[in-house]
Amino acid sequence: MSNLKSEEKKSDNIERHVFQISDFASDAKWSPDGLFIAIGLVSGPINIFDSRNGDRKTLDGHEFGTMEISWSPDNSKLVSVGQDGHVKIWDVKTQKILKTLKGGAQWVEHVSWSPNGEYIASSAGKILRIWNSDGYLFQEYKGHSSTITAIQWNAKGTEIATAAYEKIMIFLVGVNEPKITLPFPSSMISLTWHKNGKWIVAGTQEGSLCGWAVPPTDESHLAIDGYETKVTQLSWSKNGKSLATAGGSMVVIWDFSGKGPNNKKPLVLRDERRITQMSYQNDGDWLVSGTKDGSVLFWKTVVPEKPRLVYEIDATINQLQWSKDGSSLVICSEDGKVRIWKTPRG
Amino acid sequence: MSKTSQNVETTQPASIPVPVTVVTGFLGSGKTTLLNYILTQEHGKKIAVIENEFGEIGIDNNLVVGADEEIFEMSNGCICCTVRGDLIRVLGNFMKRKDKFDYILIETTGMADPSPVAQTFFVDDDTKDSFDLDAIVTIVDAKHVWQHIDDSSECQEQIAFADIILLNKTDLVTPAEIDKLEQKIYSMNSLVKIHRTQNSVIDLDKILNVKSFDLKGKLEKKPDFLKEDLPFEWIGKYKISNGTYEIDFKEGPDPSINLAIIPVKESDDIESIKDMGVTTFSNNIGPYSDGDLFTQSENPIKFTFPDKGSSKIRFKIDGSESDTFAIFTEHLPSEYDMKVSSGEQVFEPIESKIYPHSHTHDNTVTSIGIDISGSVDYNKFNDWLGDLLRTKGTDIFRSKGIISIKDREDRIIFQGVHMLLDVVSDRNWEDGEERNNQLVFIGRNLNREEITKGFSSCLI
Repeated sequence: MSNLKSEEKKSDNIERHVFQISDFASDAKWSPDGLFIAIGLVSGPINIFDSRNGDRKTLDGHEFGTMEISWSPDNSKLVSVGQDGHVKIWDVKTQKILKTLKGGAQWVEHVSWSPNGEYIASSAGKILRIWNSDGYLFQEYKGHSSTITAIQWNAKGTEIATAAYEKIMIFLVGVNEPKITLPFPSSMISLTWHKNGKWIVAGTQEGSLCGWAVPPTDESHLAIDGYETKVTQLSWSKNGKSLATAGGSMVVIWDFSGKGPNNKKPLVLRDERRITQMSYQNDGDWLVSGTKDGSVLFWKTVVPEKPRLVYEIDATINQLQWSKDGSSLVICSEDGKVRIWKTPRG
Repeated sequence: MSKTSQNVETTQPASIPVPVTVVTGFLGSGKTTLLNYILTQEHGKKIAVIENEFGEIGIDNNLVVGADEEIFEMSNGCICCTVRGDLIRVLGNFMKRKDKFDYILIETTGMADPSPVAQTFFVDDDTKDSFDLDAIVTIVDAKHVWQHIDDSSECQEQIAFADIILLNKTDLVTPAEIDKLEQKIYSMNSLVKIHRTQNSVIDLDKILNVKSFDLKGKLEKKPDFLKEDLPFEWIGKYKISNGTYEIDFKEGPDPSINLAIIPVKESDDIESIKDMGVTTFSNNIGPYSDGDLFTQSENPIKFTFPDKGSSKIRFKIDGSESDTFAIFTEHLPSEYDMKVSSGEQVFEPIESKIYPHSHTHDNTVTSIGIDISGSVDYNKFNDWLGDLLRTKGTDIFRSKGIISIKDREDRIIFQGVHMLLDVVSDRNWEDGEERNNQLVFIGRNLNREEITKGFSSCLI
């Protein structure tokens, strides 16, 4: 436990650890088993922390900066993309690079390992590429008319959705034409797919939320205005019944049970602080938001109320994510600190 | 380790917004030359350039990244509100770097309308927080711009949007042609600062960190055209002494020209000479008939051109101790191809300056200035400006103003890009300071009378 530096004990029973990294985190991802946290740095390297003992491994990462990372479902590999135009597959145990793939002539912005472990999808500018897990490129779609702003696999790993200006497209793996195109007159910047694949939802630059049942029907189409700013944060509750969304200083939780949120009143969590990150606990009721002014807010999401717990960190929160089992929270802030908080259940 | 992580020294605290200069201009005007020039100067700054080509390259301490000019329409009710989605992403990424850049330059393609870039800094919260739009710099090819200036809306917009214009390649055209071009540009955009350059070489202090979009202290200096109209449009300083001279004119747009010749010192700066000219022109202007010999005197003369062909004024300097004279002309000498000579010797001015008239020619892009004393009713003003920008926002490229509101101690300052408006409270009006309102609208098909009338109706 030598590398674990515990922060001052507080009466809330949260076990806290803090690590210093050399730079801002551009991405932070828990390994699927919840034991490791991988952090891509804006300056290039990737750090992997063992949440049990604080051991740190460092991967070389990407020249000019790492943009996104994604774990293989078996926890053994990591794929990363960066500003050097590459997609890199790493062996986590040995920290060796297994494959360097050409991801584009420019920044490769997004990468995602399919939940079934078979594919790696990435986007660079307007181009979507899909490799098999050994790094063999078998699909390259160049038909987007504007930059892809988000990519998202369905839970089975058989279909991938892309978000861009004025449209969401859904592709079947191996078929190089969109299976479904969902138009919406706005610039989509965040995207999420419901666990059972029944809903696809996007946040927009203009402070709105749009969504469709899959397959889409007219009655189920969502077009919700009224967020203060662009909607960057989308997070499903543990049972997939509600979707928490954030834009500006508001968290809005929509009920996706049954026929979806149309004609239902959302739960609105209000606070004056501008939200930069938000994550719903995967196995519990805590919703946590991180803010521009460096606060971490814990909300119980049953009734609209003030946050139950508020912690001040004093540096803008730029990454925040619950581990898959809901036991640990990673919080990265712009002063280059990584915090891992382990919470008691309930 | 990556290259950039070797420069981990934070050169400025995260909280200070990073200034951004936008460089526009037609293909071949000298944008790339300017960017290369800036990057290679010893300014100690760490600069990132966002340009419209793919790829990312490090140049010494600096970085050049590609962006693809993705323009998004915002469906926020402004029909003309467009933003650059790629800029939001690329700037968002710069913001995260610990080895922060001191300065960002954005290069646009030759045909780009600058408004989506400018509007991005008004619309996106994260961009607004972390970056300050410093200025839009437009590079104009002094030789080739005439091919576009009257027909190309992109060319007109780039001039109309500019805070600073670099008249580049001035070595390829005559001083008279440059004068004419400056006059034309001022008539389109009265707020712009023009610098003449060759090979895009310019003192960087003139184009970086100029805070054109910083409302505080802006318009503190009256834009040129809001100043009193001068009785002359041009001053030229000539190195001439006792002797007889001829000033040749070709036919020009007006049938007559007023002119004065005053002895000055070579070291006099042109602004002080200007004041002497104003005094002289306040005297009676005497007639001059073709062929007369006139002696430099206290009165200016009015020279009426004969019906046809070229003509000349002859003047004599006699018994003067001065070896430098200033010639003031009512119109631009370039419009008449004016030439000063003595015998075989032709004289060029050792220094000259244009004082553009506020009246505009037949350009579709114009500047409209309002300068009215008094105070306005806040609600009426708000309604009027809101309505104006709503209905004419597509045609109004930029607007700026200082407003005196009834019952308010502070000056109210606004600036707009199309329909997007920023309004801030400025310093208080000082005791004894005359309360007045100054507004400028730059755009296409603007009706001066209507706008002035509309604003006047808000006055108490």
